Amino acid sequence: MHKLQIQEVGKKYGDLWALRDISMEINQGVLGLLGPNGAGKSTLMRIITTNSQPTEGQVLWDGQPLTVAPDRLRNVLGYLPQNFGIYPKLSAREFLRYLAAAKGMNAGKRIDDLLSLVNLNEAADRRLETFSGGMKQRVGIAQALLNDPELLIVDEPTVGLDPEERTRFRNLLSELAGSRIVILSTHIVSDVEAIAEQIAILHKGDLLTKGKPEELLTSAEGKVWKMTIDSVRLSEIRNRYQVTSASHRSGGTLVRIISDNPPGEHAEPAMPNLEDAYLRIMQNHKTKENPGLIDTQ
Amino acid sequence: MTSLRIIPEMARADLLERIRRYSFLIMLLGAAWLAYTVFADYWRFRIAENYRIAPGPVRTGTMVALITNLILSLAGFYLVKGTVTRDRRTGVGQILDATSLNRVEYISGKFISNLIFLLSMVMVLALISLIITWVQLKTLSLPALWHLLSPFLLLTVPLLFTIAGLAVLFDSLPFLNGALGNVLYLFLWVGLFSISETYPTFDIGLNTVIQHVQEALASTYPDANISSYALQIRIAEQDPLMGFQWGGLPWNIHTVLPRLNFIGIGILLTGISAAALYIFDPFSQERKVSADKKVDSGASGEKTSGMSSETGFPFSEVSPTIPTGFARSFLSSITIEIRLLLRGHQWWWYVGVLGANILVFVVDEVSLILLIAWLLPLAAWSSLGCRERIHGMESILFSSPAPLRRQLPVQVCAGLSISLLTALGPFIYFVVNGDWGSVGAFAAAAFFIPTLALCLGTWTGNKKTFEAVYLILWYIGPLNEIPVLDFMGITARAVEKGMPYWVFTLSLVLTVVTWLKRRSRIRNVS
Repeated sequence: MHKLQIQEVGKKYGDLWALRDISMEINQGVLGLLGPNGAGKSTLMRIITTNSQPTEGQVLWDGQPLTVAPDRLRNVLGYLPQNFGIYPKLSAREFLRYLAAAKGMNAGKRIDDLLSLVNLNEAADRRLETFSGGMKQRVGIAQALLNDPELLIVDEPTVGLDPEERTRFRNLLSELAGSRIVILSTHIVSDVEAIAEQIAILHKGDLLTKGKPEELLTSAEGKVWKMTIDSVRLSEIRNRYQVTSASHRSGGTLVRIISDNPPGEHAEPAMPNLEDAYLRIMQNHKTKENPGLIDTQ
Repeated sequence: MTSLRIIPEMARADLLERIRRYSFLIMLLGAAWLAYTVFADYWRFRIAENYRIAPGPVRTGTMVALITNLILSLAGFYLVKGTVTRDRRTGVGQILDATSLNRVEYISGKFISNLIFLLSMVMVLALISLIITWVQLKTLSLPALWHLLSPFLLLTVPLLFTIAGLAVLFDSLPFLNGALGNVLYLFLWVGLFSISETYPTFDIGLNTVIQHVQEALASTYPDANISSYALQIRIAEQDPLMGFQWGGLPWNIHTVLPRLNFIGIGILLTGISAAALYIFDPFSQERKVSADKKVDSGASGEKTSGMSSETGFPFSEVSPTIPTGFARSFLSSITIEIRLLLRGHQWWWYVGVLGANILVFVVDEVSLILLIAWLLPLAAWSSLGCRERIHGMESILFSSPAPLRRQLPVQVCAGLSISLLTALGPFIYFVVNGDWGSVGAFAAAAFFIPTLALCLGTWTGNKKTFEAVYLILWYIGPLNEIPVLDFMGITARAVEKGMPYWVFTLSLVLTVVTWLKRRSRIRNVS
């Protein structure tokens, strides 16, 4: 069984720390890496995929530092970067053949199967320049699976996919996760909610927390409320509390609020979901950084 | 916002994008070094048999301006060309296309940006000339200052307008914005240069200066054979030249008016470029093509969405991976790499290559055919080393196993194969005729060209640098038969002097330099 260890990793660009003191151990299953844009997720992904060197700390694959033996990891890595390119004049099949050759594989039949898997078999011989964004993303998914990776890293993989495709892609990741390590980096909570066995939250280069989804949910229990208010009070409530959703009803606006204490007389406790838990963690961190930002009392 | 405010904003943004790069600093340093070479007597400007302009601000200003014109009229074009292409590649063009910005404003901004970019280099040249002159003379009077700087104003600045205009024109025309345009510009430059004596409109300044200097020389030394002159790089120790006093180019209607033509031509070319953008519409056309193709795909009934669960093809049924041996995988990679390099070439290109290789056995002009045969694959070679960066493929390719050990040799071999395949005829001709000197030169050049492309592509991340450097080298060395730059061994003297050994050694150095840069890129993909 493979193991990925991230030990006190930091990455600095000029004077700015994109990552600071990140440590975690990742075993088989899906790890959801959550965080807002600019949190450092892609930087961490690039370090793990050997596309970037950490300023401090190290990453170990099966106990070997990547700086010493990067090819041990590269041999079993499948990587779908956030912004990846294609060679527009190649067809999907030619493109996959090219990447299979770069990985030192003979993948003729496997390429056909992967194209079927992502439902591009009918478009397999068309030039990639004619593909839509979603189709290109599916080619990206297929190339990440070319070498049957033991470590699959997908960075914001659902960007460009329609809601149906997103659901199917999540199912595919669940299917893949059985005996391998899958790292799914995203800023969309619902992408990881259904499939991640572990969730790590990054913010401004810091690792805020890492744990099982149920642990994150437990931490938010008793902190989520719902109540119906006059629509005119919505902006006032937003100023005072962290409002995670607001929907208009005939009797006013139904708001969902994160607060340690009931935000009003008619507030009722609500069952927290992962988005609530995530937003609460982010809010707590921001409040610590900037006390008085929002009155959570 | 009026055009008067839009155009400077367009120019400013384009210029900032270009100057905030290390390469710009290197260019300025190159310009400073060029000015220094004049003071260090690396250049020889001979008038008649054994005269030269006496050292001083007149000579310095005139010589630096002439050399600047000579170099910027060719290399300057390649330096500034590509700005519209960059907008197309980065998607900025499509964004601008969706705004109220019109093509005249857009292309005017690009033209001004080109102009200022070139002007900045000229300013460095003028500044360095000024500093060195001041250090030498310890003082600089106002007339001396005028003598030093006026050649830049009169000879160089107007020419920059035409170069900037030509660059935007070539950028705007879809068939001229790539390698073909770069080749055609070289021939255009050579053509205009050769007719400039007859048609002063195309004189970059050399003929104007020569004419006035000869007149001055004839009035001082009536016996001198004034028809002979040369402006050249001083390669070896040559006979010293006698200096004579020359007052510099006069500013009158006969000297100023022809120079103003260059400004007019530059503006005219910019206008034509704007019209070309309206006709060819590079940004919206790209969208239109994609849309047409998507409509076509819809019509063919192809499902554009869906993954495994819809098709019923689970991942567990995907065929297992089959690792291949190194040799087979290496050969397979080379084949695919060659196909990638040749992708996009039209049928006439293959006909041209085939024709050139057959022709070598029909006409007795093997050197000329080799020259042509190794001009044709310019676009293929220029992709080496930079294609993955241009297409955003580095993060995937560099996280594949052994990216340095596997991919770099594959690219070298693919480039070498292109050299061999496109000039197979001349190679067979040399072998059949037992011309082993030429075979050696051929082999060295076949290795040198792709390694040069790889090196420049890897370091700069673009195709243009190799295309410009190669074309200039190809023109000066093999075509003009300058033995010291004849990397193809076209001249017997180059082969006798052992050029193939130097070329081969240089290729090895280039490979090492590429290896170092690529290793650094693999560790830090930006």
